[in-house]
Order: sequence, then C-alpha cells, then structure tokens
Amino acid sequence: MISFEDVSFTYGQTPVLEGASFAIGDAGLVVLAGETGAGKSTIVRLCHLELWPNRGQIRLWGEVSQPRDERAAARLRRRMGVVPEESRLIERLNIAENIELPMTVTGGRRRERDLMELIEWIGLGGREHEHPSTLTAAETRRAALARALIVSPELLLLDEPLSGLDPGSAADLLSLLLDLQTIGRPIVLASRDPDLTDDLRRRASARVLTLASGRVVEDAP
Amino acid sequence: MTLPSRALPAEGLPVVVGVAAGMAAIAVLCLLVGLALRDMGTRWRLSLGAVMLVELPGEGNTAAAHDLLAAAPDVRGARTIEAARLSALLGIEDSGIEGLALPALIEVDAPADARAAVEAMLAAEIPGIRVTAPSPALQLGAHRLAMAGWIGLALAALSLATVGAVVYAATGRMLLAARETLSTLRLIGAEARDLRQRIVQPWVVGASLGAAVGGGISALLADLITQATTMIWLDKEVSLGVALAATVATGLVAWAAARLAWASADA
Repeated sequence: MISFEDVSFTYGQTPVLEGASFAIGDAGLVVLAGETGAGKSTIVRLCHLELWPNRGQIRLWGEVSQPRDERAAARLRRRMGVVPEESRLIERLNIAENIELPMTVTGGRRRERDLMELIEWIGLGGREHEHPSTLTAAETRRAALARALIVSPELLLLDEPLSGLDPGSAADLLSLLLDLQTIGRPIVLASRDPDLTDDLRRRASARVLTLASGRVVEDAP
Repeated sequence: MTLPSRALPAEGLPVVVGVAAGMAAIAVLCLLVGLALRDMGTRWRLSLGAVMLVELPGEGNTAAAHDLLAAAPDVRGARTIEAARLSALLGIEDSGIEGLALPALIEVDAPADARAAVEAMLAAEIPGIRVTAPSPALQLGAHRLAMAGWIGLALAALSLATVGAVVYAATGRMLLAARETLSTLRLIGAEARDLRQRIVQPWVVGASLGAAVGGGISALLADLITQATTMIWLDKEVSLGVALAATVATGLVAWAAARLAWASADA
C-alpha cells in the first residue's frame, strides 16, 4: 500500500530524513517511534503528500507520488484520513460541520444518522452544534479523529494523537484507537512517548519503526 | 464543493457590491455622455466642414460660378440660395425693406480648408467674388467636442480599474484571513482549483450584481434626461446596451482581479 524507497528529505539545509526504506501493508498498526526531531512527523507528512522527498520515491497504492502534481495529491489525500498534531478544526464551523468537511470537499454524501453515530462514538454527542473553541484538547483531538474517519479512509495517519492530554483523556482516546485497529485498515501513528509505543506493541501487536536522527534504526514487528 | 459560506466568508462583499454599483453608474454615464458629445461634435464638424458660402457681385454671374464650381476638384455640390429663402433667413420678409438689394449667394458643399483655393479659382474669372467658410475656432471646437467621447471612455476605464483594485484588495484580505481554513481544506483533499473558484466566485457575482444595478440606474437616468430635454442624446437601446456592456466588463475585471490576488497569495 505504501512504500518508501530510499527517501530523504531536508528542511532547507537541515536533513530530517535520510535513506528511509520501508513498506506498510493493507492492515495493522504501525507506530513511528523516536525522539522529537527524529523524522516521525516528516514521514506522516510525506505519506500525506504535504511534503515531497528530495531523493527517493514514495508509492501510494502503487502510484508514485509526483512532486507538484497538486491534483493527483488531492485525489490521493481523499483516500486517507489524517489527524495532525494541532488538529486544525475550523472555528467558524460547528463540530458537526467540521467532522463532515471531508464529505463536503469530496462531494460525497453521508447519512445524518451515520454522522451522529460517529459523533456519539467519539464522545461528543449533544455538542455537535458547538464550535471548536468550546472543546478541551482531548475533545478537539477526538473531533479531528472523527473528521479523519468520516470518509472511511483506506489509510489513517495520526501525528502525536495523545500528546498534551491528561492521563485520563489519553487513556480514553487510546481505547478509541485500539477499537479502530479492528477496522482492518492500516493506521500509521507517530509518537515520541515510549510508554504509548510499548502499550501499543503489547495490546495491539503494533509494528514499531524506530527513528533516530532521520534514519530508521529499528523495524520491530 | 458545497462548503458552508461561513467557512470562507467574503467579508468585504457589501463594499465591493457598492463600489461596483457606483463605479458602473459613473462608467455608464461617462460613456453615454461621451458618446452623445462625440456624436454631436462629429455632426457639427461635418456640417461646418460641408458648407461654404460664395457671395457674387451680381446675379448675372451665377451660371458662370456654377460652371466653375462644377469643375473644381474639392467641391461636392453647389446650390443657389433663392432670394425668397434668403429673405426668410435674414428675417426681412414683410419688414418694408423687401426692395433692398440682396447679394446672390451660392451654398457650396466642400471642405473648409479648400476655401482659399475655391476663392482664387472663382476670383480669377469673376472679380469681386467672396467666399466664406466657418472659422477655424469653430472647427476646433467641434473637433474637441468629438474628442470628448474618448474622455468618457477613459473615465469609464478608470471606473472599472477602481472596481478591479477594490476586488483585488478584498480578495487579498479574505485570503489572509482564511489562510488556516484553506490549509485545512487542502489537508482533507480539496483541490486548489475548487478552492480558487470558491474564493473568486462571490466577488464576480457581487461585482456583476452591483454593476447591473448601478449601470441600469444610469441608463434609465440617461433615458429620462433624453425625454426631458431637446438635446441630441442616445437611443434607449444604446443606453441599455452600454449598461449591459459595463456589467459584463465589471464582472470580467472582478474575475481577473480576484484570480490575480489568488495567484499572488499562492506564489
């Protein structure tokens, strides 16, 4: 489904990813582990075609991502769901509209009942008409997760989904993520939290790609 | 993409609609006045240029003068002003001075700048003849009146440029305010061309709507003035045509300005 072939990326003159090669199959949870600056978020953004490699190539569903091909990138992005670290909900829209946004963009239709079920599932039932500024950090993360899931993505990308959350909220969100693992779609999760990585390895048989200084130093199933 | 309008609000839209209405009204009025003046000036210039007056020393020379004029290269036609018509023109009918000796006059259809040549040619055969043509100042006045049409066109272009500048500024402001929203929309798979269309559309619709109202009001005003005065003016169809053209031109200018703002922000 996704393959990185000798991929390197630099921000200006600073290399953040060097010669990364790995493949992700059609299912399972893959954790990108490592310290801050190891290159985890860069891999998530490269997978999501927000960035383009300086060297090497990335294949998504057999298609080589072409730099600057915005139309193709948009088409591929619609097959993914992404939860960026900063969530990026639109304040002018209410929670339901934010969650439904990918459907609006793709021109697809979702039954109202499905939307409400999703909102209930993430624990924001009854608050769908509120705006993002009324949500806590954990709730914002949940809303972003629902927005990623509304299109039934073929690939789910999560960048530090539990960072900055209190232990209780983190545990609740983690149980949602573990539920998601059962949908049979690949999930790529970037985390700098070693405890979370161990937890996911133990409870969800997650494959862990460990990064250090822009290199994949360990690929442990 | 049927995005809620709140997601990407066009906050300066009322201003753009108002400016487009005002500028289109000015543009239509400038064009109509310009067209009318140009038309008036052209007609005046043509009529001034067409008529030259030949004053003969005696009636006996009329036939000879006609023969000479018929052979002159610049003369398109000539006709004798009958004594009765001349009396009527001078207002001496029934004034008790009917017996007054009037000069014999021939109206000549020829360009004003041919006056000297015509006079020289006639004087060579008929001594004492006089040829008069409209003064150069009148000719110049008529020419300048005709040129006023171009000033109207320039003012109309300036009005459209103002609409373009306002739309450019409003779109730029909108793009700045919506930077994060646009980034999020791209993140979830929106295509740049859809977003561009979504950004450009309200300005084009708003400016066109404003221009249609402003231009329409101007056209109706011009029609009312035409009916209320005896001035040479324009047909109703011409006024409405100009208003329609101003609406279309405003829409095109708004489209170009908004696209330019998008391209600048994207770059």
